[in-house]
Formats: sequence, structure tokens, C-alpha cells
Amino acid sequence: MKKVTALGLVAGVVFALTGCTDSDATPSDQASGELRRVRVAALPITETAALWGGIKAGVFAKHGLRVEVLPAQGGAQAIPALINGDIDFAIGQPFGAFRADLQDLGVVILGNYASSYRDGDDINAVVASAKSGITKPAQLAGRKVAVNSLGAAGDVTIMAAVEKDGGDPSSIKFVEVAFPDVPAQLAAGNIDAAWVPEPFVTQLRSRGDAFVVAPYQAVVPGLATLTVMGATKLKESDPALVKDFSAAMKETLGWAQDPANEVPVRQAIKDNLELPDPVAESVRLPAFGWELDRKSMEALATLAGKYRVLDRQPNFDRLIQQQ
Amino acid sequence: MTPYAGEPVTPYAREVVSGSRFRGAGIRIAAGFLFAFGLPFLALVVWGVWSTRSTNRFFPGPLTIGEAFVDTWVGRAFLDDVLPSLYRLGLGIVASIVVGVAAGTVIGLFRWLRELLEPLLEFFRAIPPPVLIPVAMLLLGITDSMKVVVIVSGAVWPILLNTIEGVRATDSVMTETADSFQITWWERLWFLVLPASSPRIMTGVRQGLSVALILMVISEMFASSSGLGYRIAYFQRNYLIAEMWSGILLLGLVGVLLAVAFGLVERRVLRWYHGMREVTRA
Repeated sequence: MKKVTALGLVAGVVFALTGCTDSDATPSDQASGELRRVRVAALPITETAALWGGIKAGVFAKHGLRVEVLPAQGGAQAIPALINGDIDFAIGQPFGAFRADLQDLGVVILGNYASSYRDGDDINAVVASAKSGITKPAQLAGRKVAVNSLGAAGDVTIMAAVEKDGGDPSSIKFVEVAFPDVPAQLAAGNIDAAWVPEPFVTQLRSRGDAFVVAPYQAVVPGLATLTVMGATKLKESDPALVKDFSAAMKETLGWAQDPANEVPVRQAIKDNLELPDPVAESVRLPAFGWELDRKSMEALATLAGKYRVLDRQPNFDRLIQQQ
Repeated sequence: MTPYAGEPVTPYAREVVSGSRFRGAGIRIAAGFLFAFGLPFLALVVWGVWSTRSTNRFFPGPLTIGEAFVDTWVGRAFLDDVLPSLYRLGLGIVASIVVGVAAGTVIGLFRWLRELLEPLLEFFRAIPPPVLIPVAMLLLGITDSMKVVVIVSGAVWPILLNTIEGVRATDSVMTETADSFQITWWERLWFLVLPASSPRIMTGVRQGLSVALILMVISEMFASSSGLGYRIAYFQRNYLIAEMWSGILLLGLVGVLLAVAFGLVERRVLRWYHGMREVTRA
């Protein structure tokens, strides 16, 4: 009897408690001075230098915005925060936005941020250890290749590059290894090759590891590496903010792309990342620009469908809202 | 007791007693069942009702998760992800028990060794095993053995330390008796020390199991391309929220099954001990 009473009591309490949940706290729009506070999530990588530099150069203040940059470890963390309204905008890989669109999360891509290069040295590459003997993409078939996260742009473009070179893409053994762990894992022989961005490409090549392919350039030249994302909800509730931020972003990216401003951009890397000065001075920067290349993103999504990384295609008309 | 005296009465008496006892037991079992499964069921119902009212897509309802569970884990994924995970978990647990009990017995038997090693063991036990993953990755590569080593590096400590304690606390009267009978070293170990310390060892194993399960998941979240932990992290990154919760549900079920299996083994191994305690209590 005691047990039944206890159960009944618990039931009562639980039902009473559920009545008090469901309070969706709305973020308050705080104005500090005349500047509007905007929270932007960005990855702590060299590409973010354009944003840091632009803030320091006063581009955002000119548009009435005070930007707070919040470090994000990846799109997976940034997008839920975006939807919940904890942050206003996020800078991240377009693949995260594809995934979010497939789940109907209400995320839109507002503009481009950084792209890979159509020709010349690209900003990311597959590098193989010297002892693996790999020199061309087809040789990656059947080998252990590291990417930072599976099921995203890295493995999709590598598979396409291998197929293009006449190899069997389905036999590549992909493993997840975080970028900073790659040099040690390659040296230890635990992986044969790895997909890495700058500054790791330069670092690995200079110690004798072999450049294999720049998968973005080989498959979808000029593919966007980072885009600016926002929530559909914010776009509807506060179009003025989105407009102001977009204008400021466009100006910032134009400013960062201007060779005359390379010094402050590189200074921003030194100020915000703990990189050795020679690396900060020499690291290859991406092509900054606000205009989205929708075709390249569609090509990436099509490839992802082909290799069964995505089981459906995102709705690009809804996802891409160039401002 | 005597077959004659009670004979005429018993059939009737036994019938009455067993009848009411049976009914009593039936109610008790039903109540026990209701009590054990009542709260989980209640929680499910509350969750289901709540999910119909909530629009938060990060907390889907139980039906959605149930569907995702079947779609995700029944079939190929079971072979590709769940079985390798369980295999590593099993290997890790067995290795932890073997290493923990063997080393613990040796350390527990010699006082000087115990005093020598205790500070060191306490230190290693205090290191959170997940921080060893990058090191293990370098030394052992991105392999199954790396993951098993990570599991062992965490699960072995409760077993080891409990074994040491159990061996140390062997009843001194029994030890002296064994001495005076001049029982051989092996017999002494097998018939006295291990049985005497087995309640403590089992306590250690129980703690080790949950640590092993946690480390199985964590070891798969780094540098992996298969396994339960990898899948859950993958689903989370790709906003497959119902699938992610279904993975967490599966982990919970694995934990429950482990506990049940452990309970059965423990009851068998420690039958004498539970029996003894019941006698002392009565």
C-alpha cells in the first residue's frame, strides 16, 4: 500500500510540475548607448580574421552595431544556439546549413564569407605522409584518410576527387581526427593521409609530407568554405537588424579582401589566435566576399547525394537568401 | 516434521495456507511490477503529453524516438555500430576484471607492497581517463585496442582498489587457522583469500561496469568511424535529434542489461555470502 501511495504522490508531483514548464524566454533587445549589440558565433580559426579586423576597423560601429564574437567549436553547436536566439548570426560551413535545412530547422544562409580558390594554391588540401607513398588522389583508395568530421564537405569532395582520378571512392577508409591532432597521427603512421586547412598544409609540406590534392579546387572550384547564417525567425521579426548586419558584413569582407588591408587582417590573427608570428604572417588567407555562389553549393549537395552522405537535397530556394 | 502426527491435518491446512499465500504472492508480485515499471511508464506518458504541447524540436516525443529507434538500430547499424561497441566494452570489462583482481590480490597480500604502491595508485585513479585518449591514440593508433585500453584505464581502478581492500580485510582467525593447518599457498589463495574478498571484488566490478560504459562512449567520440558513441555524436552534429535520443535510449538499455547480467552473476558468485547475511539477520 505504501508503495502505491508513493507512486501516486510522485505522479501528482510530476503532473503538477509539467504545468509550470514551457516558458520560452525571449532574448531582450539590449541597446547599449546608440550601438545595438549583436552576438555572432565564429570558429577560432584564421579565416575569422576578417571579422575581428572589421570590428577593430570600426566597420560595424559605422552601421550602428556592436559585435560580440562568440567562439563556436562547430556548426553543430552554433545552429541550435541560432534557433534558440542565444546568438544572432553564425559563421560556419555551408554543409551545416544543408543539414539544418533538411531537418527544417529554420536556418537561412544570408551571404558568403570565405571561399576556396579557383586556381593556384588552395586553402585546404589532402596531405599524405611521406612513407605512405601516396602522390595522387586515385592512390587514396583503400587507405586510411582523416577528416575533421565525417559526412561533410571534406569527405564528399575527397571521394569525388578520387573518383575523378580513376580510383574507387567507396574503398577509402575515413576516420575522424581533429585538425590539430593530424601532424602527430600522420607521423605515427596511424593514418595515411589527412584533409587539413591552412596553416597545417604549409606546416606538413615543409616537413616532407606530400601534397595529394586540393579537393575543393579539384571538384567544385571556388566552393564556399564559410557562410553567414541566420535564423528565419530573426529575419522575419527584425529585418532591419539583418539588413544592417548584412551591409556591415559586406563592407567588412570587401575591406579584408583589399590587399591594402592585409596588415590589419594579419594583425587580427595575432591578436586573437595564439599562433607563432611567422605562421600568422605567412598563412594563406581565403577569398573573402559576400556574394554567394549558389551553383557551387548545389554542386556540393548533388555530390553529397551521390555518395549517400545526404539522403535528400536541401531546399535551396528557401535556404539561400542572399542579402 | 514427523510424518505421522501431522498427516491428517496437513492436506487441508496446506491448501488454505498455500491458497492465501499464492494470492498474497500474486498481489505482491503485481505490486512489485507496478512499482518497478510504474514510474518509467508514468514518465513516458507525461513526456508524450508534454511533447504534443511543446514545439521544441530538440525534445521530440517518445513515439518519434521509438520510430527512430527501430529505423536506426534494427538491421545493419546493429552489426556495424552496436556489436563492435559491445565487443570493445566486453573486452574492456573482462580485461579490467582480470588485471584488477590479479594485481589487487598480489598487492593486497603483501603489506609492504601495498604501502609502497598506495599513493601511486591513488594518483593514477584520480586521472580522468578521457584525457588519456590523445596519448593512447598516438601510442596505439586509431584502433580497437586504443579504445579497449581507454576503457580499462578507467574501469580497472574500482576493481583493483576494492580487491586490495578485500584481500587485506581477510578474517584473521581464518588466516591463522589456515596457517596452523599448513595449507599450501595456492589452496589458501583459492579457498580462503579470493572467496573472502569476493564481496568487495563484486562491489568493485559493479562500479567498474558503469565507468566502462561511459568510457566506451567517450572513446568512440574521438577519432572513430563506427560505434555507438560515434553514431550519437554524428546524429547530434547533423541535427538528427530523434535518432540521437534513440542512441541515448539504447545506451541506457545496454546499461540496464549490464546491471541485470551483473546481478545474476553476483547472486551466483556470492550465494554463500547472501545466505550468510540472511542467517545473521534472522
